[in-house]
Amino acid sequence: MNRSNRTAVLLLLALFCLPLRSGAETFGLFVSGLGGDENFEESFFETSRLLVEAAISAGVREEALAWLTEDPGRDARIDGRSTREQVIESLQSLSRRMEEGDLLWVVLIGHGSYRDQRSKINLPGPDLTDEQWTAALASVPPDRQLVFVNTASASGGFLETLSGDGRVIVTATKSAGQRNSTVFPTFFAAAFAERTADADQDGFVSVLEAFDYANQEVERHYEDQNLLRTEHALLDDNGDRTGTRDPTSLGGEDGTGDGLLAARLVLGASALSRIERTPENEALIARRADLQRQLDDLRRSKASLPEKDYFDQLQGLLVEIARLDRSLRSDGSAATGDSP
Amino acid sequence: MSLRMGARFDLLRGFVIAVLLGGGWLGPAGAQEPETAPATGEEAGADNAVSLTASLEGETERESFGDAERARYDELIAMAPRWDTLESLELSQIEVALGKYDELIERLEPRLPMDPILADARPSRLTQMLLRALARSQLAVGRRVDALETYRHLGSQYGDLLAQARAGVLLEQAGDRQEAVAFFEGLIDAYNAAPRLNVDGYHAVAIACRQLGREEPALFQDALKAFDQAIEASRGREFGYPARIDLANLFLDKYDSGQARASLEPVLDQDAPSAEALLALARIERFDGQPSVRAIADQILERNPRHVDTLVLLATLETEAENGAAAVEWVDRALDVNPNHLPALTLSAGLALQDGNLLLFGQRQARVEELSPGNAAFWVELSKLAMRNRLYPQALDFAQRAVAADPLSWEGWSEVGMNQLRLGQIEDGRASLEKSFAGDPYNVWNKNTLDLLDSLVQYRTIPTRRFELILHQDEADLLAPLVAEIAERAYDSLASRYGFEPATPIRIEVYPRHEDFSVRTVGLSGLGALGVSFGPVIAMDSPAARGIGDFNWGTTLWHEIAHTFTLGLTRGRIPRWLTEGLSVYEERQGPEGWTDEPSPDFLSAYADGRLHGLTTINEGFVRPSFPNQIGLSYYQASLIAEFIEKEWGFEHIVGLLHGYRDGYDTERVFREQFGLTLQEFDDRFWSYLESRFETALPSFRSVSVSVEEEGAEEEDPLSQSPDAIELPSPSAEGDLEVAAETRPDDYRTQLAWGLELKRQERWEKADEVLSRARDLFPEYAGPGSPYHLLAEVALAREDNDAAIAHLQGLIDINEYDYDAHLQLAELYKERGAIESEADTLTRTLYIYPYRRTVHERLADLAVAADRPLDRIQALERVLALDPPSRPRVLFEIARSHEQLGDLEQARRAVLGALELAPGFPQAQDLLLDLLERMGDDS
Repeated sequence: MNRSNRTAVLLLLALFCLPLRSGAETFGLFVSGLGGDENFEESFFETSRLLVEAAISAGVREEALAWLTEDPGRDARIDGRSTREQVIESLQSLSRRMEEGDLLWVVLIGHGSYRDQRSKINLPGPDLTDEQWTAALASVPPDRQLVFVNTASASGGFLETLSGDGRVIVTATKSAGQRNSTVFPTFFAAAFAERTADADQDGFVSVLEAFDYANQEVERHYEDQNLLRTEHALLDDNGDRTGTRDPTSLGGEDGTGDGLLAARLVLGASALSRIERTPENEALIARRADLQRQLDDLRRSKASLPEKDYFDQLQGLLVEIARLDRSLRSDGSAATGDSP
Repeated sequence: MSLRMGARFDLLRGFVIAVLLGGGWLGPAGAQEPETAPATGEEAGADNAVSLTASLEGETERESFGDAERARYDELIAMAPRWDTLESLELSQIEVALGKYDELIERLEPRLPMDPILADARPSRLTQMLLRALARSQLAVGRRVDALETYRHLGSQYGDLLAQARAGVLLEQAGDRQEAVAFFEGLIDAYNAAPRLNVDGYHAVAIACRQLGREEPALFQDALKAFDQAIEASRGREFGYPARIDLANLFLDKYDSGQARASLEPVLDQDAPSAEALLALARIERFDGQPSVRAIADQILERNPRHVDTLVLLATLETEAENGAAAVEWVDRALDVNPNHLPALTLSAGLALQDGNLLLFGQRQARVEELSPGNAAFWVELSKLAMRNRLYPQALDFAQRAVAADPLSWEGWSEVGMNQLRLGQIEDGRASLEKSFAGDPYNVWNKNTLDLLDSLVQYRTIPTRRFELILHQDEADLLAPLVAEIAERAYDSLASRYGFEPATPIRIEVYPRHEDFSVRTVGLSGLGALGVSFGPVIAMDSPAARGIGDFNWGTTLWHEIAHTFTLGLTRGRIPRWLTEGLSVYEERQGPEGWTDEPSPDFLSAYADGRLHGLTTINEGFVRPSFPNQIGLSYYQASLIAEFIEKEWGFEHIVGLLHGYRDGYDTERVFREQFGLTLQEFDDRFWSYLESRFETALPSFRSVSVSVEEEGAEEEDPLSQSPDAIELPSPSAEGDLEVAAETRPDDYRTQLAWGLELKRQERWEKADEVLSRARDLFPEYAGPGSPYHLLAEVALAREDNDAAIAHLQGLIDINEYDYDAHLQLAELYKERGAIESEADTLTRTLYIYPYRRTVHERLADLAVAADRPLDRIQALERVLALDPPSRPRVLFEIARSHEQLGDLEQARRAVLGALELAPGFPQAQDLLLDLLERMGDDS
C-alpha cells in the first residue's frame, strides 16, 4: 500500500463511530504453535497459511505481516520459527512500524494449556502465557487497534487478561477448562479464505462475521459428528473482560455490549481506507457515518415502534444510504462499491 | 412459575409406560384403592401361619397355592373347635385367607354380638382377634355397616386403635367425612399423648395421617414417619407386615413404585405372602408396565377365588384390552362375592355405559351414591375409562362431576386438567392441574405437564385455514409452511373420502424434544410413539426429536389427522385396532406415495399363525406377546382396511364407522356391512393375505419349517438385515449356493446368496440373484432389502441407470431412508434430471428438513425450472436455517418476487436484506429500482 496517499482524518473517526481511520494500515502476526504430531503440525500450518494468504489477498502488505511456524522451511514466506523469543521480537518489530490508528491482528493457532493458574499457547521451546502476552502487547501503543485471536484449546483464559479498550479479543473456548483440541481455527480461517462469511455482503469479512461463521460451523461440525460440543468461542470488544458467545453488530440492546467494534474491523484494507480523500468525499463519509448511527439506533428501537413507522423510517434511511453509497462508488477512486 | 417439588417421595423414577396410541394413559395406578383391609398386626402372623411351598415363580411341580391351608382347614373343621379357642382363631384366619367369609361369619357372628352385655365372653386378646377376622369377612362380603359396627366396637371396647382407623376409613367412604376426621384426629391425639405405641397403634396413626393428607399434603410425611415407627416396633417380625403393605400402597398412590417395592420386599420374601401383599405387588407391576400382573392375580385367586380386589383387577385388565365381555365376567364375579364393593360397582357402571346399558349404569350409580355419597372416585374411574376409549369430552365431563362431588379429589382435578388439555383448552387445563398439584404435590404427571406448559412460551401459534400450529420458535419458520401444507392436504383428502369434516381449528403441537411430546401425551417421558391424536388436538415429535431416518414426520402427521377424522366421525366409539389401521392405510393415500411396507417379521408372524383374528386383534395392540407385535398389528389392521376397500369399496369402511358411531359392536357392524360373522370375515381376510403375498409367503413358511426341523429356537436370522448374517465359512458358502439353486423361489435364501455374491464382488451374478430376491418380495424395501443391495451392485459396476432404477424403486416404497433419497438425488443431478432431482429432494424434507444445502439446491433447481414461487419457498426455508448471509438470501427472495411481478413483496424482502446489510450494493440498486418502478419517490 502506498502510504503517501494517507490522509489523516482523525475527526472522521469520531463522526463515523468507526475505529479505523481512512488510510489506516493493517498489520498481522500469525503464529502456528507446537503441533505435537504430524496431523496437528499440518493442520496448524495449513490454517496459518490460509489466513496469511487471505490477508494478502485482502490488501495487507507482505511487509506488514509476520508469519511464524513450527517449521519455517515449509514456505518461503515464513518469517521464522514460532519460539517465544521470535514471537515477541516479531510483535515488537511490527509495533515499531505501526502508526496511530493502524490495526494489528494477532492470531494464534496451536495447542493451549492451563497450568499454575495461567493459560498458555504451546510453542516450540518455552510457552507463552496470557500474562506474558499482556507484557508483550504493551509494546503496542494504545492508539493502535488490536484484534487478538487465540484459537487454541484452553484459550478462554486469555480473554479476561487481555481485554481492554479498543481491543477485540476472540478465544476458541469459553474457559481455560475446555482443553480438547479445537476445530474453531479451521472455520475461522475458512471465513476469510472463502469469503462465504460475508454476511452483510459488503465485500469484506469482519471479525464479527468470521466469528459468527466459525461458531455456526463448529456447532454444525459437532452435530454432524454426533459429539458433545467441547468448545464455545467468546468475543469481547467492549473492554469489560467478559466474553460473549453471541455478540451482535449493534452491540446489544443499548450499544454497549460486545460486537459493535468487531463488526467494523476487517482483515485487510477496509472500504474506508480505499476511498480517495477529497473534501466532497469527506462530507459524504461523514453523512454516511451519521446515517449508519441513525440506522443502528432505529434497529435497536424496533421492538418499541409500530411496524409501519419502523419500516417507513427504515426505508427512508436505507434509500439515503443507497444513494450516498452510489455516489461514493461512482467516485471511481477506491471503487470497491462497498460501504464504509 | 410455581415450583413443583416433592419431598421424601421421589418424583421421577424409571417408569415403563403402557400407552394407547390414539388413546391415552391409563393413569398412575388404575382402579380405586383396594377395599379389603390388609390383615392387621398379630393377625398377619397367623395369616401366614401355615407353611406353604408355593413360590411366586410358580413351578409346575409345586403344590397348588393354598393347598396346605385347605388341608389344615379340613383338619380344623373335623376337630370342630369351640369358638373361643386358639384353634378357632387359626380356623378364622384360614377362612379369611381362603375366602370362606360366609362360613366364618356364620360360625362367629352369633357368638360375638356387638352389645357387650350379650357377649359370651369378656374382652380378651382372643376375642379381639376373632372380632377383627369377623370385621374383615363382613367387609369382604359387602356388609359395610356391620363391618363398621364391629370396628367401632373393637375401638370402644378393646381400645383397638387400628380398628378405629379402619372405622374411620369406612366412615369416610360412607360420606361421613366429619366423623371420620374426628376418628383420625383422635388417633393423632393418642399418638401425641402416649410415650409410645405398639405396632398396630403406629399403623393406625399412619392410616389417620394418610387420610387427613388429602386436605393437608404435609401429613403424608407424618404418615411415612408413623409407618416407619410401626415397622421399627415390629422388629422385623411378621406382625409388622400389614404396615409394610399399607406403606407400599401409600408409596404407589404417590407414584413411587421403587419405594413401594422396597417396602414390600420383606413381606414377599416369606414362603406364602398374603393376598394383600401379592395384590400390592400386582399393582406395582402394573404401574411399572410389567407383564406379570395377571400371573400374580391368578396366584391370589388360586388360594382365594373370592378375593374381590383381585377379581376387579382382572376386570380392569380386560377393560384395558377392550375385552368388554371378559371384563363383565370378572366384575360380575366380584359383585357376586361383594355386591357393595365400590370399585366393582364403579367398573360395572363404566362397562354398562360402554355397552349402552343405561339402566344398569343407573342402578350401579345409584348404589354407589347410596353407599358412598359424594364418591368422587366413581366419576374419576368413569373419566379414565372414557379417556381410554378416546371419548375425551365425556372423560372431561365425568372428571368435572368428580370434583363437583368432592372438591378435594385431586385426582379428579388432574383428570379435568388433562382432558382439558387433550381438548385444546390449554389455560383451563393449566388452572385445573395447578389446583390438583397444590393438593397432591407428588403427582409426577401433573408436575411434568405443568413444567411443559410453562415452556410453551417458547412456542409460536400459527393459524392456517383449518389448523392451529404450535411450533417451537427455533423451528417455526422452517416447519410452519411444510406442516401447514401437509395438514391442509390431509384434511381435504380425508374430508372427501369420509364425507365428514371435523370441527376446526384442529390444534397441532409439534415438539422438537421427544421428552416433551411424551409428557404432553402421557405425563411422563419414555413414550415410544411418534404422535398422538386426541381428536381436536394432535401432538407429535418434530423431525428434530428423532435421529435422521427414524421416521417420516409427514406420514406421522397424516396418520394423526386421520385419527382426528375417524374419532370425530364415530364420536370416539371406534375400536383401537380400526382407528390405527385406517390411519396407517390413509398414510398410503398421502401426496408423496408414502407407504408402509410389509416386513419379513410380518410375514413370519402370519406364517407362524401369530396374528390375531378380529375377535382378539386388540390384544396385539394392548397386550403384545412377542417383540414388535404392536407394529405388526398396525400393519395388519391397515391391510384389513385395504382388503375392505378392495373387496367391497370404501363406502363400507365409512359404513363401519357409522355403525360404531351408533353404538354397535364389531360383530354387528361387520355383519351389517358384509353379511359375515367375524370368523367368516377372518377366513376371507387370511385368504386375501395369501394371495396378496403369494410370491413371498412360501419363503417364510419354508424357512419356518426348516428352522423347526433343525430344532432351532431362535428367530430366523434371514428375517433380519443381511448385514447381520455371518457368512460364509467355505462350507457354508457351498451350502448356500446349493440351497439357492435348489430353492430358487425362496426369498431369504436368494437374498443371502446374493449378499454373499456381492461380498465376493461377483457383480453380474449378484445382480441376477438379488433381482430374483426382490421379485419374490417386491413390497419390502426396509433395511437390508434387495433394493439397497442391487443399487450398491449397480454403482460398483458404474451402471448409474440401473442404480437410479433400484433406488427409485426403493424410495417409492420406503419413505424414510434419507441416505437413499440423497444418493438418488445426486445421481439425478449428474444426469441433469432437474424434475426428478427436485422431486427426490422434496421428499427428504418429510424425513429431515434441517439440512440447509438441500433447500439451497432446491432453490437452484427452481431457477433452472423457472419456478420463482418454488424458489421463494425454498429460500424462505434456507432463511430459517441460519444461512451465513441472511441479506443475500433475502435479496434472492426479493428478486424472485420481482420476477413474479410482485414489487411490493420484493420491496419488503429487499428492505429486510438492507436492514441487516445497509451497504449491500446489489440490494441497494434493487431497492432504488423498485421504488422508482413503484412510483415511490422517497
